[in-house]
Amino acid sequence: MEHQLLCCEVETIRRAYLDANLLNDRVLQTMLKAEETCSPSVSYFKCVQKEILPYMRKIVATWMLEVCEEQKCEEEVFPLAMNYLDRFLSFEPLKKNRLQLLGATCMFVASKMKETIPLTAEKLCIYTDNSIRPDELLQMELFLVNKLKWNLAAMTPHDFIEHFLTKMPVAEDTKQIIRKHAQTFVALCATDVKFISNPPSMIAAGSVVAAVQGLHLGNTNTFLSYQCLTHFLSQVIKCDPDCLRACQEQIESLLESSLRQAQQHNISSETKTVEDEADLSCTPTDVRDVNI
Amino acid sequence: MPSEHVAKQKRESLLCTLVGERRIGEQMEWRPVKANRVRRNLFGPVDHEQLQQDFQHMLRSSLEGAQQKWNFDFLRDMPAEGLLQWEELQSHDVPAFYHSCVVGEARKPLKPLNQGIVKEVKAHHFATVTLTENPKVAKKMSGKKSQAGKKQRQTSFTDYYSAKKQVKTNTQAAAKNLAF
Repeated sequence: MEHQLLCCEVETIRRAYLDANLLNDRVLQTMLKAEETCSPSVSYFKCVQKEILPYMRKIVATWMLEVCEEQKCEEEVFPLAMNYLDRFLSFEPLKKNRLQLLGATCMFVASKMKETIPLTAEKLCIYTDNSIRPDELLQMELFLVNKLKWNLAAMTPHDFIEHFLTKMPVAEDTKQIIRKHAQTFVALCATDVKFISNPPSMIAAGSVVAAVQGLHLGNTNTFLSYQCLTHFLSQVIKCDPDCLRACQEQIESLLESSLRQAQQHNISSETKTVEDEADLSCTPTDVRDVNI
Repeated sequence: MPSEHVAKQKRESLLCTLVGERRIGEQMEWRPVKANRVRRNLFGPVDHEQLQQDFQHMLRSSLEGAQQKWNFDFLRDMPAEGLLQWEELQSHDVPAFYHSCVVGEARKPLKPLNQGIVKEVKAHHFATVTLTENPKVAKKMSGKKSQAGKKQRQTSFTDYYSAKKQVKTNTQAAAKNLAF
């Protein structure tokens, strides 16, 4: 008899649907051209940086990935932030103790580019254990966008994955699982120095092949057989099939070593407390959390 | 090859577990533990004072670059010597898009490069412009009088059009001036 108002709002972030009109060949060709303009220099550790070493990039990348994970950022935020970081370091020598400031600033800008509700400066500063201040982050932001000449809409491998999947004659639920695995590989690649030289389209194609291989989908669908898929994707991104295979093999070996490290890490943390052990056995860790 | 097959299967299942639902509620239990782990300083303390100085230096040099490019002194908000001719326009002569405004807190004003020479209060003008009723868009070089008395009204497309036309005739005039 009483009338009640029900609030049916959910706390999910509203986002636009994928625009099918943007998934055509004309756009893909433009993307393949555009990715060259936003690519970092391969040899910046040798030619530009004095203090920054490859292992430091790994450390800051791992931290950035963890922050993105914990804040549940959109998938593209992390690879885009790494693109900013590499491009900045290609131009500008940086002190070691400012690398985390740069990493935080790159996430700050990438999050603004890709998210409905972006990460705040204050939150990011807390993640650095307050070693940097929000005003420093804002000043660094200005410096960063200046150095990148405001070219912030860089291509990420994620953009290409959508194009590949659209072109593939595969069932929707299969696409979904390929997408998920490939995106994980993309994040993994962004943490590793060896992949700086690969353009986003190559990483995307390599990740899709590695995902299909890992899932053994080649046996069930002839289009997804190794030969057929590498041939198809290398044509789409206009590269040599051998280059694509090399990239995919590199991704697989990176996965192997990351998994090995993850197992070691898990064993070491399992010995810490019994409580942790119970958690580890039931909670899925993300492959992106593993390379510490 | 059975061992290889087993290894492959093992890897696959591992990957499946690793990639598995990462946005599910279970993760909530992890949060406090992870928060402590993720929140960390990676490469030691940051030299805050040196950083401030370096920022000032970087911003100054980028301003200098901009001044060279546009021959406009952005610190003093004044045209500088160079090829471009600057002309002052009233805010109602240009679309609202070009009006200056500061969202949120204003940035700290930049210290002028050479404090001995540049001492006017004006020096900080550029950095502290706030949304005003009738902000000046740019200072003019030619000695034309500003039409300050005009009533504020909404800008329309034709306003912008006439303003552009004015610029054109003025550059011609300026070219004549340069010639002598």
